[in-house]
Amino acid sequence: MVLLRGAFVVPLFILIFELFGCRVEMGPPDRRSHEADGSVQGEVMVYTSMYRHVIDAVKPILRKELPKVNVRWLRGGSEKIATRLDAEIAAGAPQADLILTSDPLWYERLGAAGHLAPYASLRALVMPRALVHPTGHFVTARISTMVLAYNERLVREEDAPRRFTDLFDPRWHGKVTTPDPLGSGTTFTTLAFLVHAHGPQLLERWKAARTVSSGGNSSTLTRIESGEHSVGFVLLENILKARKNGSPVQFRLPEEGPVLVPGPIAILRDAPNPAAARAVYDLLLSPAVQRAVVDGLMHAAFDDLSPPEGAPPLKTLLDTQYQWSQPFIAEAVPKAAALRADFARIMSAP
Amino acid sequence: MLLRLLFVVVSALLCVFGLTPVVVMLATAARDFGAPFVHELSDPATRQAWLNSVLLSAAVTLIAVPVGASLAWLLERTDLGVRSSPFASTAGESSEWLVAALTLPLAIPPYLLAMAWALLGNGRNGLINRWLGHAWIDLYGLDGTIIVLATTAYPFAFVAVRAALMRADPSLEEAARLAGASTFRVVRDVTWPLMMPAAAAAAGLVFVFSMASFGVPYLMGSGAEPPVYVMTTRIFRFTALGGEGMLARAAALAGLLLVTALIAQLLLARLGQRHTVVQVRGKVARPQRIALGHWRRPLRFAVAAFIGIIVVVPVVVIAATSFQSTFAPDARWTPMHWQNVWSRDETLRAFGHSVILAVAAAGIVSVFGLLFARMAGPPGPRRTSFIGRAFSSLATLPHAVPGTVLAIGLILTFTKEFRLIIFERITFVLFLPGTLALLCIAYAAKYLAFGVRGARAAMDQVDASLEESARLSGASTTGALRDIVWPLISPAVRASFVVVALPCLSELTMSVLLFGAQTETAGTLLFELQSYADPPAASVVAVVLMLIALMLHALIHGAVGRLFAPSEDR
Repeated sequence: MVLLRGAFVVPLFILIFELFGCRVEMGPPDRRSHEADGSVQGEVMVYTSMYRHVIDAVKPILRKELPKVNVRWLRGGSEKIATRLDAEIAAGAPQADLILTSDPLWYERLGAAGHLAPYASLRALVMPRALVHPTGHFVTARISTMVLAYNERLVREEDAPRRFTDLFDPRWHGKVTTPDPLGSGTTFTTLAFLVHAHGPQLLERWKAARTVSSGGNSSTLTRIESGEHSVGFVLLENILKARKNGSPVQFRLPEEGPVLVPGPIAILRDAPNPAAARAVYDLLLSPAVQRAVVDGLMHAAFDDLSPPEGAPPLKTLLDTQYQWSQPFIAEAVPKAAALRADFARIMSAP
Repeated sequence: MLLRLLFVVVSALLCVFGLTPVVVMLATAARDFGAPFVHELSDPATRQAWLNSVLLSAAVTLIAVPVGASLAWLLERTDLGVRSSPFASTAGESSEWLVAALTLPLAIPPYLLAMAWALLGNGRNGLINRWLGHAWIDLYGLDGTIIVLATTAYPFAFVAVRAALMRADPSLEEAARLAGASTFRVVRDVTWPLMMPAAAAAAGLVFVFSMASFGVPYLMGSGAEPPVYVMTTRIFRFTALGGEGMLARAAALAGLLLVTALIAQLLLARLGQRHTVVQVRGKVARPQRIALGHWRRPLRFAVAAFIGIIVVVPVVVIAATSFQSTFAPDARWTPMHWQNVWSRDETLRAFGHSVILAVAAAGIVSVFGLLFARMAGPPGPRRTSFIGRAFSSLATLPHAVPGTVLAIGLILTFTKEFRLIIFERITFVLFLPGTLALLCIAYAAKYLAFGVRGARAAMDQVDASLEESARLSGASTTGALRDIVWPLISPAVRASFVVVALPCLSELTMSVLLFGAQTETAGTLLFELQSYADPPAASVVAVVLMLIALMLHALIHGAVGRLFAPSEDR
């Protein structure tokens, strides 16, 4: 009787295990099947912050071009992906082959710490120089653009701020909002650029304007949309998307140029399946996939492709005061922690 | 024997899955001889955040627990919620709809509730201020955070105290009344001590819940000018962008939070113990409800107004947003967000996962909670063994760790593949990253405290002689637990099932870090819509979550529940 019950319990446990995604393998213990025989096949894990509908558009292209490769997507916010991968690296077992998110400073850190495999894709040769990282650790797969935003019901076009620094003019005091630079990678990049260009006293003006810097880009858009605030800065793709739904939020390119936040793509050094990862990497930079990126309202990394509907062409955007130059990176990366501390301290002052 | 074996198994499971992540996290903070701890403690911003956290939690506890306990008393001991029709078959019981409405905030992700309140009550152009014509209310800041968090936290106390009153022996109160005591004296000297252990347990949970909460303080606190940060939002800003040593700093803060929460729980537990009243309850009796008389009408009105303001208004705002094209005041009405959400093939899968996870985690928590509570000692107060008590306190540790930190701990611990090879032929592979199992472990670990506290508070009220006489009559420990103790404490266990299942349905903080390529949950879907694709569409998910929660209520408490358990008569 007891034995009979035991016979029930074991398959039940296996069933529960299987249901929850753990495996029980029968047969001699073997290593992961797709390991390093150099052929383009097996599973590729992509950690990405690409929009779901862009991924949906990319899937059939991948299936057609790389039928033997099974690409799995882990989709999440850039910051969440970074937190997760950082923890996985700390545990000694990163699970991703490819990463495609939107925080270049994080990729700089990963590259410097030796977690990225350098790779020269042929497609990177036709990319604008500014969008390729000199060490070859990563290139740009898509571009987010930080622009000025205003509620056109509350602010006339001719009155709207023209430069990033205009936001902190006395007439906008108490009416300006931005995402939290300590919570969103694109916003921290913008803060780093602005402080690099206009000096650390910008933080005092930021504070004096009673700026509310909270949440991510979409909650900032919501605050301008609902009229809680009138002006601020937000990612262009968020504004384009909202305008499709009839939102009163309008964008303006700053006179000195927008802050470009390239969305890098990179292969992990410890990628379980590097050959297939490189093939997927190439394909993600192909014109077909890049057109899907544009349909997702972000700019492609190639200036021969048309910009998203309603957005200025890439050439105009690249002509900006805020360039991803080596001097900027050399200053921004080591000073990041200090800038974060300064920002937190100054904004929290009563 | 079986019981002892079970104890060993659940303790082992707790150590492996619940405590390892916490320990791994603390070890990160303790490197370099605790340098991260020292560094954080010497930072005035940390001290300010700590103070804010303590203030917030204390204020929320002081508001939420009395409110929840009074509502529970009104529903269980007065005729307030009883349908007045003498022909109604349920006469003598409070309306289940009332109970469901009062616990609904548990089913709404606090973050969305905060969003609704931000639309309603922001000082610049909140709906309330626009209706009233001048800036009358501003919910941003610490005060607003306290109010909004209290509206999400009172159901914990309501559910726990209501369960205590349901299992309390009404003949005690009847005896007092027969002996000539006034209603006030009955409440003060009889009912209040009966409610006290549950209220104290709930106070501990509410305090820790407030300390570990993130969504509401993030939206209402950091949206203020100047921003107000608590420990969790400060931790978030360390982990969000990563960077050298940031994880260690976050872990140090989490450790500090953990210690504070533990001390608070210990104090509250002492408070609860001192007032614990043993009661023997042989057979079930319906409580004699206090007739409110001419107080009934105003009180009913007050409770209705409370439900209207605390529950209906934000729910209506969330539901209305789901049909609005944008957040602009002049937005169009449109079903497009509903179409968008339901045209995605992962939507249904995500909700399915969430329901499975919520039920599984709540089930595990209820069973484990019961076992841990029993491990701490047999029923009856002050009969607890030290080791058992230690284990049942350990079981509540993960709850005090903010979700983000617990999730990082789980990733650090379980990212590797664990293989157990038997006879060179069969390989058991434990590979948890991205599986539902890991999410389930995370939820169960996070909410285990609810099960343990709930079950222990219930057991403290059961007289030990009941179990002893069962044992003397020849019943096994298991048998006594099943036949004697279980029927007495089942309302409390069912209450903790609900209290765990509802937040798990919409769990977001841990899910967004732990989900896998095929294991989206309603929470990750909500986060994705909210922060990237389509903010108004997030309210679609919230509305569906609330509907699922109402169905869950119906299943557990309502008609269906009675069908399945006809003998379970209160």
